[in-house]
Amino acid sequence: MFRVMRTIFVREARDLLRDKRALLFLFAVPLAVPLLGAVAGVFVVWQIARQAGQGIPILVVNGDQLPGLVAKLEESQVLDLVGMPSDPEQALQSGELMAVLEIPPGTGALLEAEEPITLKLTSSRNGWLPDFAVLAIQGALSDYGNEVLTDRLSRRDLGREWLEPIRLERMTAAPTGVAATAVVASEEAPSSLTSIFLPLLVTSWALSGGLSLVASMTVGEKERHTMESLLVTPASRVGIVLGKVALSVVVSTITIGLWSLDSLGYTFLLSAMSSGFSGLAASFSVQFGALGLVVLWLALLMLPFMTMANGLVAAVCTFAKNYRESGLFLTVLQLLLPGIALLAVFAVVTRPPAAVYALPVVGVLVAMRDLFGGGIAPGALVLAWGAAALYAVGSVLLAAYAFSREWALMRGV
Amino acid sequence: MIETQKLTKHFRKLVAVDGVSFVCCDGEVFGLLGPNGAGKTTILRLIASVLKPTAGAALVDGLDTSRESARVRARVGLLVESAGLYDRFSPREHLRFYGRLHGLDGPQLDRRVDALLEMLEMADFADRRAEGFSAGMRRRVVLGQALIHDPPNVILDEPTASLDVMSTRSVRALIDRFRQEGRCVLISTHLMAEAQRLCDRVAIIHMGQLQAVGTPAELIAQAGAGNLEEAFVRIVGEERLRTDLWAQSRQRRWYQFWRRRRRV
Repeated sequence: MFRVMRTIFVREARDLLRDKRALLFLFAVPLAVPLLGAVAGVFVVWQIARQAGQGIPILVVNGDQLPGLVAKLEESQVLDLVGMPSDPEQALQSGELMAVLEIPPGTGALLEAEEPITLKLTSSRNGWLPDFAVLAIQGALSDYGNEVLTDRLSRRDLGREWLEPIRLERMTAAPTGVAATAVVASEEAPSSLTSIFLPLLVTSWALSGGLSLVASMTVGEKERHTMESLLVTPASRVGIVLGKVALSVVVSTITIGLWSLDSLGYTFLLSAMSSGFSGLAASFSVQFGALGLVVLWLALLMLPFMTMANGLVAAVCTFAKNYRESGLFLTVLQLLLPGIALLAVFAVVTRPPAAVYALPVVGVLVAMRDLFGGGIAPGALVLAWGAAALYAVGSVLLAAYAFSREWALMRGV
Repeated sequence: MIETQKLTKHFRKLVAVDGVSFVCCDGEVFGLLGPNGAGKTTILRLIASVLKPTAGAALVDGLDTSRESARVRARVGLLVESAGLYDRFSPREHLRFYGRLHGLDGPQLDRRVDALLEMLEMADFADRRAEGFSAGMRRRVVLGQALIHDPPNVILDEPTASLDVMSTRSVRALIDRFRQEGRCVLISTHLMAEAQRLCDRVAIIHMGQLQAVGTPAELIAQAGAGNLEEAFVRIVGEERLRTDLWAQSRQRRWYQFWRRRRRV
């Protein structure tokens, strides 16, 4: 049986490696997306730097009312304060000016009297540069406002803490469970958003990676008229199915790995952008340090889940008469599994009874949710994995059963 | 040797094969002759254990196709009429793949592949991908797949269908060679001239039933006809051929309608 499995695996893998289109969709897209993102990012940064070098032209009307604010705006490296044009409105529309900050007459006196003041900011609709100018003006306003506030407080012998009478120190209680403890022990504990989106992402990944491949390997044999030649060999049907499912699981794992690397890459990039390259190093240590155990458990849970999904798809596609029919069946699966994932995430209570972790599909997804939500007992985790492994074996056996039944195999042949 | 004993196959209400019995000996070319839809391909599939009979039995070298299907498949080479190829694989890779599925490996497989490439005149395109192959080239590759394990029983479904003159001559020469090698050769065809030229004995199949068995000469004499085509028409009956084929197509239509209704 293993010999047949290996032969089928090698044939299908070789076929896939020669199929440029399939390779493009499976592997090139996740590889190209970060590359495109990087190119776009470099372009945007280059544009900003170029424009910042020249200065974004803005006009301040009645700047003499608030000389402190004007000084702050002049300090900004990206803004260029220009003189009053003949027609400011026309200059805004043509893009000659990116923004106009209007300080009403008498504003200086009102501010001195500690009365509220209102400034008027009008920006151009000329690409994204006006937005950038508005951000810079808001930054300068915020700095100036803080200075004014600090000055007013010091006149009354008060510190800034006077503005914040109640402080809240937020902590998280350590849940039971080895993996969960590791998560919460880190500063960067995964948010509840992760625990919600992860099961949904895993479901779509498990289906999307090997889905078209499994269809091509099963119903594709019927479409190519190669099914009968395969059936007339003495090769074990279980071996044939195992070879096909094994390849689809490998491909799914690689694609999931690539997409996950993309996500990590973006996380690191954002971290580096917000806190410099020291932030990147910190982010790296958090991801691979404290979360290591959780990621390991996640991989352990995903493997049987993917096998189950691919086995199920193989069984359905073996029964299908042609690609069109398999497409209809798979649409139902694609709607059903994310539906179950949603149910698992939102409808199942936190810390459910142990039996829930043994339910097909729901069990694994709830385990993933709780793993990242910070509350799962080790026993429940093992139960979820064991049940998922059993369902994986069951779905592969179902595919093998379909592959040995005349009514399934000969449909459309 | 291939033997069928009251072989019967139903597809739900459709009777595709109805109590067919015949024997095809080693060193003999036995032809199943009948119009399209007569049940010839179903009989071949039952013998190759791709399908399971509803009743009766098919034996290959004394092995029951239902009970010992894996051993039967190892002793049978089936050329399917509509068999396709993996477009991104070369003929050599096809032969190696099917050889491995038949349990061959190493130098034994290499020798067998080389021998088949030479025997079926595929050396010129042995390492070219199958995409864009002509019908004749494809048929040779599929035939190679069926023969990779050197089976003592060869089953050929419409072996010369859609082939050009030269390819047809090659296939006919090959069938003669199988006979000389002492293999049991079972072919199905609706081409009377081909059956008359190739087969030692012929079974006339109509509506899944066996109408007559004998050598082409015996059947021609039995019907008092000038050739096998005429003998076939006389044995089955011209009127029956027309009405039965119409009834069969109507039955198929009803069967399909009934299946659709059931699905609804």
